[in-house]
Amino acid sequence: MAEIVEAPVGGEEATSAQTRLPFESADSLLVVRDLVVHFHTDFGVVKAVDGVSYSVNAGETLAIVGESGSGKSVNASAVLGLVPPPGKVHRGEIIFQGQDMLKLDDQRLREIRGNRIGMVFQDPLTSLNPVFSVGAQVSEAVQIHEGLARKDARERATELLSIVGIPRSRERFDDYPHQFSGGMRQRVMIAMAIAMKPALLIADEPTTALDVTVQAQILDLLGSLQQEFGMAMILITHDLGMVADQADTVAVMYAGSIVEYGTVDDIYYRPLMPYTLGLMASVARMDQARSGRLRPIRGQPPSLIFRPPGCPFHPRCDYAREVCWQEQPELLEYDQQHLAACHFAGNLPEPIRKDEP
Amino acid sequence: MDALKQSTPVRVFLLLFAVAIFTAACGGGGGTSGERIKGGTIRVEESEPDSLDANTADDSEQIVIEHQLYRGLVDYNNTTAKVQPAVAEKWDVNANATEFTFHLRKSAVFSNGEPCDAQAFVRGWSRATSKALASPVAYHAAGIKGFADQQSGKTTTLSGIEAVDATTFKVTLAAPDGDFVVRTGHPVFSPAPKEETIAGQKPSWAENPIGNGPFMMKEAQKHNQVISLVPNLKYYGAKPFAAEVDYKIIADFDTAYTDFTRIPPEKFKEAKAANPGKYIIRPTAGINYISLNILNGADKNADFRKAASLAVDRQAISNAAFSGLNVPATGIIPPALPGYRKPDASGVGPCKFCRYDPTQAKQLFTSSGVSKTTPILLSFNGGAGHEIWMQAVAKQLETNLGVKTKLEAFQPFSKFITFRNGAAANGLMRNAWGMDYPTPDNFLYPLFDSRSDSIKAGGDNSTHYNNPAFDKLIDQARAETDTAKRLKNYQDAEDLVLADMPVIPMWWRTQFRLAALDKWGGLAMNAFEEPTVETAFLKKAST
Amino acid sequence: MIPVVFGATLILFVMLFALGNPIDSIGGERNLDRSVRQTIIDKYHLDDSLPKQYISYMGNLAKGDLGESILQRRPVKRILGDGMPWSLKLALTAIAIETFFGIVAGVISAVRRYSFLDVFTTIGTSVLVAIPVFWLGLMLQLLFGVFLRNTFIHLPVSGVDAGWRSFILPALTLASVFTAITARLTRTTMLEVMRQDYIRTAAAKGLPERTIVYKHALRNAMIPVITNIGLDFGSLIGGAILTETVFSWPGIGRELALAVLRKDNPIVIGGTIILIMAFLLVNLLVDISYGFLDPRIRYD
Ligand SMILES: Nc1ncnc2c1ncn2[C@@H]1O[C@H](COP(=O)(O)OP(=O)(O)OP(=O)(O)O)[C@@H](O)[C@H]1O
Ligand SMILES: [Mg+2]
Repeated sequence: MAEIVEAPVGGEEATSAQTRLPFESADSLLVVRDLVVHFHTDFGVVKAVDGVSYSVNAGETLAIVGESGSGKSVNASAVLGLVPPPGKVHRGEIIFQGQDMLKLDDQRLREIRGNRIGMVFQDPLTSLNPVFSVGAQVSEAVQIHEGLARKDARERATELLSIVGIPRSRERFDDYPHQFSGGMRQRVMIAMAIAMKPALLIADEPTTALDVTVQAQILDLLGSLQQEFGMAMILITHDLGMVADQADTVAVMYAGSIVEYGTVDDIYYRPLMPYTLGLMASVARMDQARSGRLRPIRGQPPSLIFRPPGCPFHPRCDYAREVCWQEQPELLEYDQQHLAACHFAGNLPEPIRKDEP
Repeated sequence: MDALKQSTPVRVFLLLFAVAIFTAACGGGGGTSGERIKGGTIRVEESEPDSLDANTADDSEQIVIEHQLYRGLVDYNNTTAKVQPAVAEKWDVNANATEFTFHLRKSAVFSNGEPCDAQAFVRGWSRATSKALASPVAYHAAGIKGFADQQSGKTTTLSGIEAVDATTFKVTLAAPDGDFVVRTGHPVFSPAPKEETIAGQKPSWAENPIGNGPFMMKEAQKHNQVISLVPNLKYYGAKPFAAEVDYKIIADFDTAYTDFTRIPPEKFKEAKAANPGKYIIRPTAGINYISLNILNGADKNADFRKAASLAVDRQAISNAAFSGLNVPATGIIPPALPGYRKPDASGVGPCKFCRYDPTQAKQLFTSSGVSKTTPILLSFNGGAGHEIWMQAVAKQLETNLGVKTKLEAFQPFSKFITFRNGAAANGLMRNAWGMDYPTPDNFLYPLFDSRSDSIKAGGDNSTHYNNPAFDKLIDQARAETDTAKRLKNYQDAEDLVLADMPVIPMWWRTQFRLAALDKWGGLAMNAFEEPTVETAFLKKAST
Repeated sequence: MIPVVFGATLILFVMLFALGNPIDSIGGERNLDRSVRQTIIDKYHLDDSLPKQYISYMGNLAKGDLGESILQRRPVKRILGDGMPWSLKLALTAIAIETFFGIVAGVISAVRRYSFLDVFTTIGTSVLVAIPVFWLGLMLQLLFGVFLRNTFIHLPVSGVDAGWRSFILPALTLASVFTAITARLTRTTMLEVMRQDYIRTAAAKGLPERTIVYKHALRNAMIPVITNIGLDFGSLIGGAILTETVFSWPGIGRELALAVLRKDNPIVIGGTIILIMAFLLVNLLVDISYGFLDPRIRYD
């Protein structure tokens, strides 16, 4: 079943199931192919995820990077079958450990959720139920899958809380979420997500809501847990700099599609696409001397209902030429295991507009 | 007790349904055997009375119960409304009707065993007139010597009464009153047991009184639910057959559960049709009339008043608004009272202007000189079912006299009363009067004597009729101890009023009740519009 | 609480004073004899000036004395005391109905959104909210007391004679509007809660829908709903005025309605004070119980 790697991925003329993705291997824990998720709203169809394909190998980390609203969370939710209404998965397949998640019944899905795939959400305050104690919420995660007795579940939950670094976990067991600081809450979320030592941990912007000082601690915790349990991880972020150390591969999302996909080094040191360049410019790179002010990408992310014709990034792109607003570029492999969707990938012309806001 | 039970439109509407159902609820036909079976519970439809303290009994809801709990010196025959001996077996009157000596029966006791002797009446009457009780019906005793001192609090025992001995009770009046004996059947004149007994009643005397009548309280009044009476085995007279009487405070809808039920006159036709053989129709001692203010506007003109009276076709309006139930009034003293005079063959009674005669009405109106352009006001208390017939009266005045009219419904009720009693009262005003006790005086003095003027004396004479000859006849009648002569005086007084027409008599009150006559024998309506529960008996043993 | 009672009684006094002397309502169509009238006026101080009446009333109130009914000649405290248990029982039954049917209907329509049951509940609640309470009461009386009189589902339509069956129609009538409001509130809150992040978290744990809805969502949705039901309780005691009148229910609502019609001012004022205090008390209890429902408040 090995086929040409250069085959276009994503877009309307989607690939067949046989197409092998750039990082796909026998070892791949999760393979997502041509995933399309739409929201049918009163204002129109929101194409939140529009033909996305990627894979995650066991024990490795995929970072999904993109601006707000680019479809990262919807994509992650889809993996667990948790796309909120009115969202619907229109197409694609999500193969986890050889099973298509989209074809599983509810019962089977529940066996996977929280058990073999754990998830950590963006905002730890709103993601914890305010009326149950943190201990109870963590216990629940163990109880549901292991059928532990209350007392045993309580023991296990206390242990988990100390594993994620909550001091005096036994005493704090009965405390409520609002009694914890942001970082501690995120640790509770993590404790819940790793309770069953899942094969895959999806962390959706686990540090966005936190203080800068705490952000590194949480990432460290995730890293060490990953190591300890041998978990694969999907790390969603809009700050590429944060995850540079942890990621093996990176997928850059823009307006519901992956626009660049490669190893962390390729993306980090050899970005092919103006949007990725922009992302890099907007983050503080730790390895570079601070050479100037951080530059956010000019303009606003596009509407997902009325996507701009041609390359969705062209209205904001300094390098855009006529072809960019006439033809949509396909995600193609320009380098070994380095894909980009850009008419001028790796061969950028002179910037036309000044990148002043 | 003159206020009719008010009926709102909603109530009337709902009663329509309730009435239709009555038949089914009462079940099979009645037994015909003469056997009187003891036991059973009679349920009587009732509204919550304010109190059960007989000495304050001021409304019909209360009086209906006092009549069963108490026997005064006299009471009234259920059929004829005539005075008959009760606790007093006989009585003597002095020559000018100011001193009355009552001879009491020895066997009268209260239901708790205390003797109901002359002292019991001294206690009861002193209590009824005392300042401490401030009874709204104390005025029935106003003619007794020492009344004012009682009201002002100067005395605590009414000085005009005396327990000569255990069975002799003497009353001295301040002014003659030949009909005084008749008054003493009113519950305000009930006897009372010892002070300690009254004070010791739980939860209070007014909710759990002890009397000497055919029935006694089964338990304290259950407010807004039920007042239950059981036979008083110590009663001196004939014991009731029924094991219990429940006066039930119920919603209009539940009427089908009671054995004795009020129906507004306008609904009587439907009720009658739906309940053959299970209703009672009876003229009662009351009159519905229209009053005028003879000191104001067109009302001043006697010819106008007579013309207005002649212009209304009472029978036609009764047919249209009351299904013919109300009988055209032919005078002021109603049929149930002594002194009532039957109309002649042409239907004319003491009132010469109460017949329907548009021609004479027109003539009298023309000679009255009253303006046709100033509208005549017709007023009544709104929301109480008077709209239809008052409108009919207005229509007939317009047709037969050619006047303009204006209808006004006052609300609430007290606003209408204030208007009618005041100096600004004018036009034709709805009015009604029911008896307190069966004497013509009870209809003539309060309504037409100048000493009962609503403005000057706070009485019920809201027409301000002031005729010295009338007042004199009332005094004469009161001082007369010969019954026939006394009645003649009253009739003469009635004639004086009817010659001046300060009021327009409309109808004799006629009452309609649904009654479970199939189940109960001896159940009738007395002249006070009450069910005769003390004589009611089951026709066949209930299951 | 005390300033509220002070203010309310003052307003009531001024209003009732403006409506005229209660002596006019004694005796009905018949005028009271002058001397009798004066005796009653003296006994109840009906001719005293407004400030004088108010001060003496408040003085008595401080001693816990609500005065005596002018028409019923009983202490107001006893009149209200007799009615209170019935009003409370009716209100509690109505609350039970409101809580049960309101929440069940609300949850079902939230969970099965746009289903037949949801549409039915939405229409039903709109109708219930729009129907005047007394009309609903009369219609229920007509249906169960008259049309179904000879069937086994016939129900008593007045009084309290028939034990628990007596409660059914008045309690349903009284609960109607509140049940509708609770159902709607439950539905909106449930829908709102179901959108929350922690519901997604619960789902991500692998919990079955049942647990998510009835444990995680309902528990949160109940905070505003229970609070609202608690507050309804205060309104229910007052709202019973119409229901109690229609069903001849021996509670304080009916007593109050009659007293207003008959200008029995001591009952009107005393009853209003009791209602205000009940309302404030219930509010206080709701505030306290809020802490039991919502840990965020308990610990703050
Ligand atoms: N429930 C929903 N209804 C309608 N549209 C939705 C819904 N949830 C998400 N979307 C749309 O889907 C698009 C992608 O949203 P998503 O939450 O995946 O963005 P994201 O990349 O995670 O952004 P962020 O960094 O802000 O979390 C957005 O444009 C959003 O408007
Ligand atoms: Mg997101």
